[in-house]
Amino acid sequence: MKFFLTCLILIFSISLSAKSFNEIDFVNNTGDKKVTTINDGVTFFILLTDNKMKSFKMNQQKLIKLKLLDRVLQKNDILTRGQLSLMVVRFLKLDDSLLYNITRAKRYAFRLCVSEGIMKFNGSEYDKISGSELIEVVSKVSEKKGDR
Amino acid sequence: MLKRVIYLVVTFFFVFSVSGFAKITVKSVRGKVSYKTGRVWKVLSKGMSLKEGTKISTGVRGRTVIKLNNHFLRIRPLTMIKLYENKSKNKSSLTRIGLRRGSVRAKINRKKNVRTVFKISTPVATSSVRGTEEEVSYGPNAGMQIEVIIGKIEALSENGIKKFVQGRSIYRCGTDGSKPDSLLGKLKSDAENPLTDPNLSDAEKDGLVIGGDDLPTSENPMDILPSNLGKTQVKVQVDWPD
Repeated sequence: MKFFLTCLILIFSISLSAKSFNEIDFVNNTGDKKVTTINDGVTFFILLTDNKMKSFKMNQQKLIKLKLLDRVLQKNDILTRGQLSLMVVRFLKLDDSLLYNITRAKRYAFRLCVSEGIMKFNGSEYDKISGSELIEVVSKVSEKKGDR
Repeated sequence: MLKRVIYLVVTFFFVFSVSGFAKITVKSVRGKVSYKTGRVWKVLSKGMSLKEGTKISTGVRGRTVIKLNNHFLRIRPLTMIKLYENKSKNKSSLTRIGLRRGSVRAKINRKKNVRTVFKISTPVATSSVRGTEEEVSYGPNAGMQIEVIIGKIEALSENGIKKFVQGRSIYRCGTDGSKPDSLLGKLKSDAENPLTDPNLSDAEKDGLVIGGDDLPTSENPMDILPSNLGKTQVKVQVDWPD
């Protein structure tokens, strides 16, 4: 009886660990979202930096360590163009803007992304970003990084 | 018994010659790539045969090359496509692909005496390739962009505007329902260099006058010229064709 119980627990734990992160499902689900969250942005940057997917907190700590984020953010907060721009600018190490270099603000990070052709100027740094827009930005970032 | 076998063979050939379904094979896969025929996404692997109606989706570092008839389709990362149609008969070949997001590079091997139709559609426009190589991308902000590598293509926007694209020209059609850009629009925008970001406030512009410019390249056009040159007047008129 004990043997069967041990086997059952073992099978259960294996099946739990096998339920790993599915990148394609994540990309496709994100693509359908009208508004994306900090979690979506963090996940994409973990994938871009070739790091293993872990919990949101651990992923966020990894990005803080890589200096792509400077503080802890809430998982379900809305991802704005400004926050995404800040991560993009840090990831690509863009520094061709005097105002960004002085202030390190989201406003100028967004303008820097616009001038680099990564984002389109059709709003402000406070705007929400949709899933398909996020994928388009990540795709351009990956291209600029020379991953294509 | 023999009659039955002959009947089956004849029926088989008849069905396949009428439908003309051509083979779609996966030539290579790198990174995470999945395909979907029913409701579930499955892992795509090299050497697989795909059917019409299959969707293909690539991950952040995923890419694949698909062979359709004699044509090759290179699917880039973060792309989703649908293989709508792929038919081949003796004197004609028809391939239709839907690009939902991302970018693909198509290499079309056109044979003499075979009418080849190779179409890539996005929500805003359709490109018809006429024996060539092209790179097509689509996104909600950038819209559809077609870059012709070799040969000539015909682009038809949703509002019925047809353009032939070849050489260094790039076709761009936005998602706002407006007319496609000028074919030399990218060349023009790359050549133009704004003096200040038009979206900055007056106070920010004043700050830049004191502190320097805020352009992607901080080099002033005058910086690259030697200072001891004499002055001369130059008149330049650039005409950008539609």
